[in-house]
Amino acid sequence: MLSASRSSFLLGGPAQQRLPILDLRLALTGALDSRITFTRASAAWDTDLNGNIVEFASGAPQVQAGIGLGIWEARTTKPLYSRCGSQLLSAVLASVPAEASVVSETNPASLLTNGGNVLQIDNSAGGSPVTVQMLGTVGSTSAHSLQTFARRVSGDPSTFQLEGAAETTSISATTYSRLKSENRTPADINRRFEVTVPAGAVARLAAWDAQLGAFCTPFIDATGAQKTRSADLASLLVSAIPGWNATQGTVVVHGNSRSPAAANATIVQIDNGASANIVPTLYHQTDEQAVFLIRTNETNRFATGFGALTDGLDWSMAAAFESGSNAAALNGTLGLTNSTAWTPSAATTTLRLGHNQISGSLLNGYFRRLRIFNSRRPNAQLPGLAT
Amino acid sequence: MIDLRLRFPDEASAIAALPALRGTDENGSGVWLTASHTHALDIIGPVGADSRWHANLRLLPGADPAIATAAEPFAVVPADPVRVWA
Repeated sequence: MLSASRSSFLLGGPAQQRLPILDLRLALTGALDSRITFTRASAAWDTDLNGNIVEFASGAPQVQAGIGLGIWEARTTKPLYSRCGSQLLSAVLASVPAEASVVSETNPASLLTNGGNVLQIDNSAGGSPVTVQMLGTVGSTSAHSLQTFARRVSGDPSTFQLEGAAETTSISATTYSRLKSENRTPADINRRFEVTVPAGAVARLAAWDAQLGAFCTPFIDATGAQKTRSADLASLLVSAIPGWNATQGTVVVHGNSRSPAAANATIVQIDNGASANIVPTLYHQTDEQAVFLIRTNETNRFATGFGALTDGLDWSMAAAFESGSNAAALNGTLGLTNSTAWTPSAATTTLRLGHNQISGSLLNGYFRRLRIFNSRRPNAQLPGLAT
Repeated sequence: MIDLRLRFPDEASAIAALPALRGTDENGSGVWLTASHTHALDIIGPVGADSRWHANLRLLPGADPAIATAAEPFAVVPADPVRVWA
């Protein structure tokens, strides 16, 4: 759903408006505005709110109500370990006794060839939290990743991830979650999944997969040959946004980054098309710090220092830009301002969602909502917008 | 949509043949453009003992026809491809 108020032009420029000129409620609607150009050259998979694997055809955006728009870089499976394992999961953990139980699979060789990596837990009966434990040491040198998902069948959208050598976490009766681990050696993958479920709960180890690369992305269904899921690219020309202001504005983004990228992850980039004159870019740096970059004439200027992002948790950012006066806020905290001058953007400016000018440095996460105002909102308002 | 499985003697040959798929990152370094609204490029590199440079190229509607023209001389049809598009 998009709401855009009518604009008026006074003295040759757009009137400043208090309402956003673009409001993409992606998680609320589960739909993508028709003005956005979306491309993914292959099929893709993700899990829905119920933890079930959902396939998206080539070119179809991974946008779901309650989740938002997924933007992921291209990834390739490890062929030995990857395959949709819905059948297998049933075979391994199909039935859990009515009383509190431990269900485990040690060194699951069958899983290695039937892969998948979705741990689905239905704790709708409530009671004690479900505990998920993935045993084994963490490898840090291998360039592939293993991911595990777990989502509460119904519940609030809070998320978490597994970390540490002995990875243990809990899923309360009111949350659904995705679990992941990363940077594992093949031997590490050959480990034991142990799930403790309370009375009345149902646990299924649905699928799991391993991918080339240092961190996990959503599940890729692969049999036989290695499979590559292409990157998700979404962009729109600002000329399609009524009331666009070429000289100033404010971008507010609500999203979720599952994993830090190997390189800076682009959140939103506004590119006027001039060589090396990319104007504002919100970044999620490798140190998990959000950064508002103003790049002009091959010089980077940053507004930063406003806090850290936590992988897997929702975040909100607001960035106000105007030549000579830029600022940003993350999760309600205002960062350092930056006074860098930059060239006003032209009518051909492209707004990129989750990727940069060379279609790289992808977000690797979800957009839940994106708003654009056609004026530089005052610094005092940014923390409120970024909540 | 056009799918091409490409094999070059080495990466430098690929760079020379496919300049339209090259870009420059923010540090000024040349990089492969692995995705756009009109193409996807999956770089494979050497395959096992075959040290030649391999890649899968998928051209979408709107792609510059010159890219296909430049790539087709290097296209191969392996009986058992090691990597395919999802």
